[in-house]
Amino acid sequence: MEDTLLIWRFKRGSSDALRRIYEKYADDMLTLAVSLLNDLSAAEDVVHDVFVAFAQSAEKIGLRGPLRSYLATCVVNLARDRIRSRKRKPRQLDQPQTITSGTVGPPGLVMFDEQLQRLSRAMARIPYEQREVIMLHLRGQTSFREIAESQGLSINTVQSRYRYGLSKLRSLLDGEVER
Amino acid sequence: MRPLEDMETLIRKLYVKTSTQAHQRTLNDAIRAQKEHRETQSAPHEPTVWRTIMKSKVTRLVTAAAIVAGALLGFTGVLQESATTAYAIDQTIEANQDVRYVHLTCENIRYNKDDCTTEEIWAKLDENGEVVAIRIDKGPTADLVVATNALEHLICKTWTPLRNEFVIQYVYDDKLWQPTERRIGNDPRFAVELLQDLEAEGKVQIDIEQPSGKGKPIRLMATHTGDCIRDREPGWVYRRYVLLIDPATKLVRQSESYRLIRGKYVLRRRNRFLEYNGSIDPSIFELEPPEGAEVLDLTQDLGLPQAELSAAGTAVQVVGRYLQALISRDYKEAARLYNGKTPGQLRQWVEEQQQIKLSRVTYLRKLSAEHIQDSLVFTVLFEYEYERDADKAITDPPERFAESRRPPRERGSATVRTVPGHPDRWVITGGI
Repeated sequence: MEDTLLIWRFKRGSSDALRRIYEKYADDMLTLAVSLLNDLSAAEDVVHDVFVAFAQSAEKIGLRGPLRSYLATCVVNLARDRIRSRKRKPRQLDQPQTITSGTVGPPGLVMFDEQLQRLSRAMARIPYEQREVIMLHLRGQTSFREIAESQGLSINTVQSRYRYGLSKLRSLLDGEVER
Repeated sequence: MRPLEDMETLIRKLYVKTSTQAHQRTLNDAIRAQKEHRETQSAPHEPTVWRTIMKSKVTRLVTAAAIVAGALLGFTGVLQESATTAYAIDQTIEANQDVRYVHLTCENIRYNKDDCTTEEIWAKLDENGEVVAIRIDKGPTADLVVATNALEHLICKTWTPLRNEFVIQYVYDDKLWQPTERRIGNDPRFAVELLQDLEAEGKVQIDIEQPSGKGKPIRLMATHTGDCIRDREPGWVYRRYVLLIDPATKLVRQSESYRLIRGKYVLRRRNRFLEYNGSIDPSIFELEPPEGAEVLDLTQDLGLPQAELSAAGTAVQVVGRYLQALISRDYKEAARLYNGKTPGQLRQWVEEQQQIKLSRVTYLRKLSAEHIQDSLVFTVLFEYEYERDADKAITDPPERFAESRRPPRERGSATVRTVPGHPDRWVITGGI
């Protein structure tokens, strides 16, 4: 119920509700964006833009599912746009950057334990479509059906991407351990 | 090779914390954007009457009939009149914008007439629907409660005439008009919008009957659908709401909550909204201890300071110390660690209701942390050994065990959060 109340107050123009929504979901959305973009600075920009756009949408917003899924879908859509525009630039999309820069990260980035660092490196090496589905499902708590609907895909395609992505991650991680 | 489930767990553990700088920048920009947007949208909001009309089966039929009639009559004034007089939920939402005071009565209806209760409530709301002050009068021999907002948190004063006891305590604003059915019942502003949102999500079906007789109330009935049952949120125990709406003001006159019991909708709660924006005497939100009353101020020295432990560590320690206090029957210390409980209530619970003697704590661990409103709330699992009738057992409170028929080793849980206005002090807020 908590989110329903927050949304209700947000729609009434409450800045306190907006602040609470932001504080509740900011870290989760940043984690999602970093995992997709593999770049902390770009991820912070995406989260910033999502929340600013969200703040301007009070009277338009009509949630059909959880608020977390809604915000996660916004992050994923914007991250995809950023990646498309990045593709036109010379920099490599999946070239590990911020998140894999060892145990000393930039300010604000909580570096994971060793296992999680390996995971984030592996995440950057799986196809973007698979990464997107995995993160939306596991971190955005979005159902496969909802992902399929929002991306115009069949649910089987979404589930396959999820399964293949996880298998690929697993083999990448196991391969790293074996080395 | 690790199983896929392990991978899922690992991914769920990924965590990146927003830097303070980025956090502040985004929050400031979002709030500024919201403010600017609000200012540019400040023109009177046109209710989306047509959309709402078309959501309702009844009004859809009415509208369709009106269109047919209009076509037959060559679109004379009949069409215009029919369309403009049809009720839409948005009209109530619009009317609710100006509600700042509500005066209502709430009847809790039970099978046993002795268990039925009636409360009279006066509430003052701000422009965001936040409770600024509330008075709940439960009858001449029951509690009288007044809560007022002070320094961004609610202070609740309760007078219990039977014990001539006057208790001052903090109340967390998310608990004041909770659970949901109370919100729907008591706060008509929340009710209509929530029902509309739930209808959009397919969780309730709304039917509107608009009687032709002048002055007769509009009847809005919302019934939970199968989707709602599958995806039921905590607090959603009622299955049908009936709102009677004033045709002139479009404000809710009466709300009824029904629960589906053995295939029948049984009335459980009826609220009558006696007055909106009436001239409420401000002193109604003041409550002083009657002469001779024992005053217990539970806001003093409440909770445990965080000191050098982490927040989670302190949360676990609060529960541990609380249980130790119950073991040593130091109810004053236990009440200091549990928001809203008096030493007398805790003694009564342990010694009279449960008739147990706690002997030792056998398990204590943090289960989870989540954000409620803007504060961090920990859930701490615990287990203790107790004696009753010379028998020893290890379990959570036995009455819960008896009710739910759970296995005796099921652990209890407590929620712990910061004391309102004291972010460095932690207190139990429920669950034990």
